[in-house]
This record gives sequence, C-alpha cells and structure tokens, in this order.
Amino acid sequence: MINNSFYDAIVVGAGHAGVEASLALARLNKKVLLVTLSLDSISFMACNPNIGGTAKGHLVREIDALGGQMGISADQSLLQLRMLNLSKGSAVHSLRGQEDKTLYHLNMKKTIEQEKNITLLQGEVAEILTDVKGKVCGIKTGMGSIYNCSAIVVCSGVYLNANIVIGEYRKEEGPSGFSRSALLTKSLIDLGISIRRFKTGTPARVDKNTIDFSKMTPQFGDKDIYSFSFMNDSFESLDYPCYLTYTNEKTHKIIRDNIHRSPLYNGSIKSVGPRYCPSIEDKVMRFADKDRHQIFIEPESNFTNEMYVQGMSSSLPIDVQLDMYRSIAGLENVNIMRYAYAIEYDCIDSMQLDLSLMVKHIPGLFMAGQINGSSGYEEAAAQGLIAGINANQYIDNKKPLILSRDEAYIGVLIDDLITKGTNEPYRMMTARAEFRLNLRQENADIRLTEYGRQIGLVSDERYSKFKDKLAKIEEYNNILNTNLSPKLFSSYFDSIGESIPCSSLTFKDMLKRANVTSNSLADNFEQLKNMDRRILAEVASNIKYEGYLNKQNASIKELQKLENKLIPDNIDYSQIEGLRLEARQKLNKVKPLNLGQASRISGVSPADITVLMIYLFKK
Amino acid sequence: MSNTIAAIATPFGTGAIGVIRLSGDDSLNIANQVFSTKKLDSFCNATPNHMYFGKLDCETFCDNCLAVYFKKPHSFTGEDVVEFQCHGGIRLLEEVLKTLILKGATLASKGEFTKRAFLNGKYSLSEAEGIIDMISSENTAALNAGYRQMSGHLTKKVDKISKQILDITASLEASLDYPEELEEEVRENLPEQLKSVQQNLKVLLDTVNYGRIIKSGINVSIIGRPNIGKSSLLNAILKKDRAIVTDIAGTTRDTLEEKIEKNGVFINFIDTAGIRDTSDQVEKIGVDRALNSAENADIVVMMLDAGKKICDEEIELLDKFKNKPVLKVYNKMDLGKDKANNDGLFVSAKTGENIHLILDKICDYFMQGIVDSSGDVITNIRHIEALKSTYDFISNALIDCENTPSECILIDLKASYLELGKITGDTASEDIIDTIFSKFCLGK
Repeated sequence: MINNSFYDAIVVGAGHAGVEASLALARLNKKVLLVTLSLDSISFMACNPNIGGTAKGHLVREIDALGGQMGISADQSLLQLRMLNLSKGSAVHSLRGQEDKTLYHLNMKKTIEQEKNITLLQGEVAEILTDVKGKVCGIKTGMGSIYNCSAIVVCSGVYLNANIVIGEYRKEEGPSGFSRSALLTKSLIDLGISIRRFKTGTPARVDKNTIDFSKMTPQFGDKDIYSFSFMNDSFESLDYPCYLTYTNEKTHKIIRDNIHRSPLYNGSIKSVGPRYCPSIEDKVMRFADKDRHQIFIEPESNFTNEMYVQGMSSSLPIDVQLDMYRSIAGLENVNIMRYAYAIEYDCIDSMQLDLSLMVKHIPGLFMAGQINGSSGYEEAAAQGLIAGINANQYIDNKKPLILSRDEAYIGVLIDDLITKGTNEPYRMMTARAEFRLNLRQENADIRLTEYGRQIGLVSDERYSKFKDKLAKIEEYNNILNTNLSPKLFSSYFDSIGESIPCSSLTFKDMLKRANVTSNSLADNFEQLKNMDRRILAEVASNIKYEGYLNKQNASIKELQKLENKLIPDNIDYSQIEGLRLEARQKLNKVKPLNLGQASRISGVSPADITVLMIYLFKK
Repeated sequence: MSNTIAAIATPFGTGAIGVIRLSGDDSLNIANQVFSTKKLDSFCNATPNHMYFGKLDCETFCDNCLAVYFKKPHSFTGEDVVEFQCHGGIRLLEEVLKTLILKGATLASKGEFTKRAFLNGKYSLSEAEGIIDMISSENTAALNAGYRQMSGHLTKKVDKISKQILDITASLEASLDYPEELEEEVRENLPEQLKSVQQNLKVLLDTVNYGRIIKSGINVSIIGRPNIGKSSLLNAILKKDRAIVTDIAGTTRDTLEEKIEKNGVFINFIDTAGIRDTSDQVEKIGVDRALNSAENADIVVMMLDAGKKICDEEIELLDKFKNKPVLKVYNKMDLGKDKANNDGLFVSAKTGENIHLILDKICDYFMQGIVDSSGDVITNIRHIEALKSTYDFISNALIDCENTPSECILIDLKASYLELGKITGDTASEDIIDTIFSKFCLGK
C-alpha cells in the first residue's frame, strides 16, 4: 500500500535519539513521520533511572543549549538531583538527576504529540527505499505500507535482531518485554552497510516493599537548586533517596560457584560488551581481590514500587540471581519483579558515517544513537539532535552542523565514533575530551547557543535570556577588576586562612587563590552581593583556570591549523604516492573532512599527514 | 609561527668542515645565544648574506666558526635561516646541535627543511615528488626504530616510566569520571608517585651527562670575585702558564678552557672572568659568560679567599648555583685563614699546596656511579629531547600537585606521556582509557 502523504523526513525509532531528531526536524518546519515499534516505549529508559552524570551531564547541557529537548524533559521528571564532583574543579562538575521513568516517558510523549509537524505511527520499518541515484526516498513497513520522504534518520537503539539472555534462557525480544525489530537489518545489509553485534545488560528490578532499608545508607540530593535546562531557573525538585549497600563474600561465592552457567563465561554470548558497564559476574571474576562492590538501590518512578539495583547487572540464570540478590544486606527477603538480563543487538560500524552522521554512500540516510555503537541515553540524544539538524540541512541543501572537539563534548563524541570507531558500546567520559577545561557544563550555553540560533532551534525567549547572561558576564568581569586595599579584605582573608599581602588586590587576584570561592566572595563583599551566583561562579572558573586554559588554547590553535586544511571529498587515497598501505586504506574508509580529522585516524602517522599536506598543496 | 628547526646539513662522517643549519622565525635569536663576532654587538643585527667570523660557544667547548644569515624569503627554506660552518668531526657537530636545541631549536625531522622549502613555494612540482619519496622512505622504516636501537636495559627503564605515568594518569582520570565508585584516595600518594617518576627520569637523563662525560669529559667552571686567583689556579692545575695572571682585578675577560686527564676521564677546566658589577662593556660580557659557563658546567669550583669572611656577593653567587654540585675552594691559604671558613678545600695556587685535592674531589664526585654497570648511555638526541620535555612536564605537575585540581594536573601529565610516546611510540587517549578499566572496577 502506497501512502500518498509525503514527509520531509522519517525517523525510525522513538527512543532518546529518535525524539530529539524528530523534534529538531519538526521545529525547523519539516513534516516528520516518527515510526516506533510501540507508542508505549517513547523515550523509555530501559536501563538506569538517571539522566546526566559525569560527561553525560555535560552532553545534556549542550543538547539544551542547541535547542534540544532532553534537559527540559529531565527537569520536569526529577526524583532527585545532585551535582557530582563538587570537590573538584568546575570543569568536571556534572549534574545527575534521578528521573521518574514513567513521567519522563509521558512528558516526552506529550511533547511529541503536541508538535504539529510530527505524525506518530506505531509500526515496524522493514525497508529503507532508495531511488535510482542511490538517495533515500522512503520506507516500507512490515505491514507493507510505503511512505515517501527526502531524508531518514535511523535510531533503532538496541532493537535490531535483539536477543534477551538470562542463563540458558534466550528469547528473540527487545528490552523490557518490548518486541524487537526483525526486518531492518537485512535492508541495511542490502544497502551495503556493514553490521556488527554488541551486547549490554541491565540489573533486576525489585519490590520496594520487600527491602529492609534500615540496613542501607540513604543518599539524598543536593539542597542547592540546579537545573539541566538553561530555561529553568528554579523549580520544586523532589528528593527521593537512593540507598547504598554492598555485595559481600557470600554474594561472590554464589557467583563463582555458578560462573559456568553465565552466558558471558560459557561462550554462549560472543558479542562485545562495554567495559565500563560490567556485569556483577565480570566484576567479581576480574577483580577477585575486592571483597565488596557498591550497590545502589534507586527508585524507578513515583508510580511503581519497582526499584533499580544499580551495580548488579547480570545474565546468570534466575535461580542464581535470586540467591545472589538475597545475599546482600537489606535484600534478604527481596522479591525480584523483573530479572536482570543481557541483550545482544545489531549495530553498524560507525566509521561508515560522515561527521554529519549521514551514511557516506547513501545520501539522505542518517543514523543516531546505539545503532552507531554508542551507549547511554545522553549519547543517543546528542546524536539524535545532530542527525535531526543535519537531516534538515541536507533537505534544505545547507551546510551541516559539525561541532569540533574544542567546542563541545558532542563534537568529541561524534568525532570519536566517526574517526576512530569503537569496538565496544561507546560511553562519553571527561577523559576523552582533551579540551576538558573549556568544555564545562556551566558554559555550554556560551559555547553553543549561537549555533542553535543560526540553525533556528533557539527561540527568541531563550536567545534574549542568553544575551542577558552575556551582558551580566561582562558587567561582573568589570566589577571583579576593582582594586581593593588590604584593609578591605584582611578580615575576609583571615577568616579563610589566606595570608594577607601588602599590596592591593582585585577580586580576580583573590579568586586565583585556592581558598577563595566565588560564593564566599559574594557573601563577604557588598559589590558582589546581588550577583547571580551561577553566573558569578562561571566567571570565576575562567579566572581560576586561566593559566591552564592558556596552555589548552595553545594546543587548540595547533589543532585548528590542521582542521582548517580541508580535504576535497573526491580524493582516491590509494593513488597517493608516499602514503603507507594502511594509511591509504584507513583514509579511504574514513574520508576525513580535513587534515585534523585525518591525523586522528589510528594507523595514519604524522609522516602520512605530511605527504597528504604536500599532495593537497600540489592540487 | 613555525618552530625553529636545526640539523647537521653536511653528510654524516668526518670532513674538513661541517655545516649546521637553523631555519625558522627564531633562528637569529638562537644563533645569537651561541655565536659572537667582533663585528657585531649582537648577531640579531647581522646583515643578510654576509659571512661572519666568530666564536661558537657551546656547552662543552668553544670553537671558531663562520656564520651566515639568510633573510626570509630569500633562503633555502623561505624562512629565516642561519648556517654555521664549523670544523668537521661528527662529535663536534653533534655538540653544536645539542646546544642549539638547548637554546630553543627543535631537531628537524628527516626532509623537514625540504618540506618547508616546498611549502614556501621554493620547489617546483616535479621536485616535490622527490620529497614525498624521501618522507615515505622514512615512513616505511619502523616508527620507533630509534627506540629499538636503544639497549634492552634502557628500553625497560623508559617503559617503566611510561607505565608509571600512565598509571597515575589513569587513576586521576578515573577519579574524575567515577567520583562515587572510586574509594581509593588517589591524590594522597600523588606527590610521592610524581617524585618517583621525576627521579627515574633524572636517572636516565643523568646517563646523558655521563655519556657525554665519558666521551668529552667533565666540565668544571671556576668562578669567583676578581683577582681571587682563578687563573692562577688553572695554571697550577695545568702546571703551565696558560692563563695570563696579573695583580690587576679583571684581567681575565673571556672564558678559557683547558683539559687534563685524570683516572681516564677528561676534566675540562674553564677559567672565567671575575664576577662583579662593572660598567666596562667588555668586562660585562666576560662576567655574563662566566655565569653562563657555570650554569652549564657539571661542577662549579667556587673560589674564595681563605683569609677573608665570605662576602654578600659571594653568598649570592653560591645561592645562584645551589642546585649544582659546587666545590668551595679557599685560595691563598699561605696567607692565613679566617676561622669562619671551614667547609671546603684550602689551597694555595701560588705554592701549589693541596691542588691535587681538587682533582681528587672532582673525580670522587663523578666517579661514584658515573659509569653505569651496563654501560648504557643515551646518545640519541631525539630521545634526550623527549626525556627532557617529559621531565619538565612532570616537574610542573609536581609543583601543582599541592593544591591544584586534578583536571589541571592532568594537562601536564598527559603532555608528559605524549612526550615519552615520541620514544616509545605510545599514544595517549586509548591507553589511558584501557588502563582505567583494567586497573579499577568501575561501572554500573
């Protein structure tokens, strides 16, 4: 059946990537068809009930600054909010929210339904259709309907040919009982896309009423009010506690005694799992010297008694799981409502994409999220947003939005996936961002709002609020340059144990001292009392980091020199004399946009870059 | 601005002359630090395309040479270029090159002059093909061929340091990305760990010195106030009238170097101008050179007057070189000694009394462990350069580790790992992440 309505873009999958892609396209006035296997799984948080965390919190702020949705919805569905790493410098402060999964799903579903440019459809996409020129032109569903379009964004998550594995039990099924997508992989293979198989897992959900919380340590959120979204200044944040408990020798013995029944260890799972998300059997076997592992019991939602047991993901058989969970302090009588499972799924080799997230050899076909080999809601949402934006740019025949590594974690994420590739589900880490000091969650808006504005996703309201912030930053900077004689700050310095110099100091000078914080300054000096503390803290970061930022900026300049040397896309590297064979192959595969990207490809040496530089110069 | 590169331009081996070339914006500046000519106050004012005769002042020796400056773009590379025509001999040329690197040049990689020439439009298309061949011949050679040339013993040492840095880096990174899960307090042991890395690097870098010492000797700079008997001491050690000695303070204007052999090792004594505030232009240059020579010496002989209390200027001077081995030598013991002077050697340059003790003392100082039992020394200039930068980055990190946040310390730590990677071929980002996950049990 050919459906007569034409859509500018079709988004396949309504998970965290899919909703961002659809909303971005719709807000840029494109007609979008959003197809999902189940309307009940829109923005479903299939694993942990958190958004944010180290590096991931940065991603959420960046998504927000570009005009994405995740931060706003996360703020609306909070159970608890914490700023991690407060004892360290501001570059690694990371916001993490415990989210109400049900509410998050409903909030996002409502947002999508209210968007007039999105048509929501439950169904399975079976085939990607291309025209005679090889460009995408539509999809065919499992039930045989055909929909035409100019661009497609595939955000299939972990659903492609997914298998659930619990011990000897194996089922062709997606996460949490949702059905899997059984047809699309073949279509992708037919289009010449190479497929790989990854694995991940999730812990059990247990009944709150069967937990003895008195044996655990409650953990509450922060009192200070933060928000993911720049548009939310303050709001009522609930403070549901999480609970900390530990595994013990008994737990470890149960695991060791039954390790032969673990699909990860007896060879029945062969696909690659993430190192940063190890199952409990992995932790126990690989770190045998650790006598206990942390376990956090976290609320899933205000609408259910289900609790998430963070740290206990597993694919052991259910009888072992029950013994193992019940060996933990506070869980002696626990009822497991959903057992832990491992899930295997198809994804693509991300090096087949270009930096706009489009498949290199199929114009109009974009991919985002776990299908690209990443993991995590935030990583997915970030890619979804960029893929949505770039599908829009593709349709309008405009330049794609490509963020560089010195501008955003999103830039690092996409560049890593596309240029280096990944052999395991890729998680964002601050360690991956070489310009970490610049890429702070507090200045995400400064770094990215202008891009969002140019694209058309930043509303007038957000933009004027942003401009107000810029004006405040300038004003605060001027005030912080005020010179004060020692007698004006000696009592303050005394109180924080700083030695008092003989000469006068500006507020900026003071901020360079380790004990001086922007908050304590604002508390102690009339000139700063009425300042917005968040903005002041941000200004202070630039001052505190100054020397190190300078070091970083020097390397950023070096990087930019190479990034500015563009490489035409029609080069056949196999014909370039002087390049080593490995470099030719890798360069032909990645087809880098510029010399900077080329230099990051593994297997391309500095000498290869020189050869390339000379070759380009000749042209 | 491109960095300034240096290399020996004439073929490897011993010839009558050897040419060393500098190219880049800093060429004149660097040349001026090592080359002086009577024709010019400063080589920075050199007229392009003129040949100057003058003196090349290196770490271990001085030599006459010719220098010529080519102003950009009228040079081989199209950049500012300085060329030195020195006496031939590979040892000598290597020393000059080392000195230039010490003063801020970086060692040119193979074909780099030609590459720059090409990029600055000095080459035609057909000639460029040749450059690519040249680079690719380097390219196909193993990237770390130099590393394999090092003895296994040294390789192990470098690997060990690299591993140490990686472990520290991974611990700090892990504590940033996993603040809740990492129970270990990684910062507590950081100063100790960094000191250990620094110490291990120093041991390696010391072999650089020892290597040089075995080849070209120990450099001993004799410094002190004017007319305290430095030149007399040199003559007494050499047992000949090498330096001009008068009663007039400030007789010695330039540094003067002579070597003697003791226990199979050469000791190069450098007599210097007496150090004092002076308005005499020439003497002033002499004083600067004296300080410079002491700065670069392996050991400083600080000459004092046995009969007089140590003066403020001398205290200042001792303080200046407090990080170097300094041997205090009280001269004029034949004229009596002040009670306060009790911490050095007492000699008389005039009578020759106790002069042999100076030689013994210097040899003692360097003989203890001077020759590594394995005989390993680092001679590859590229390795030395990388080790030195690594050392500098680690030292920065060590200074910072008192009260700087981890994410800042990591900038220097990662830079140090990359520097060492120039020897080992290791690259940072994936190594660090691999180590994080192999070392710590992390993840939900």
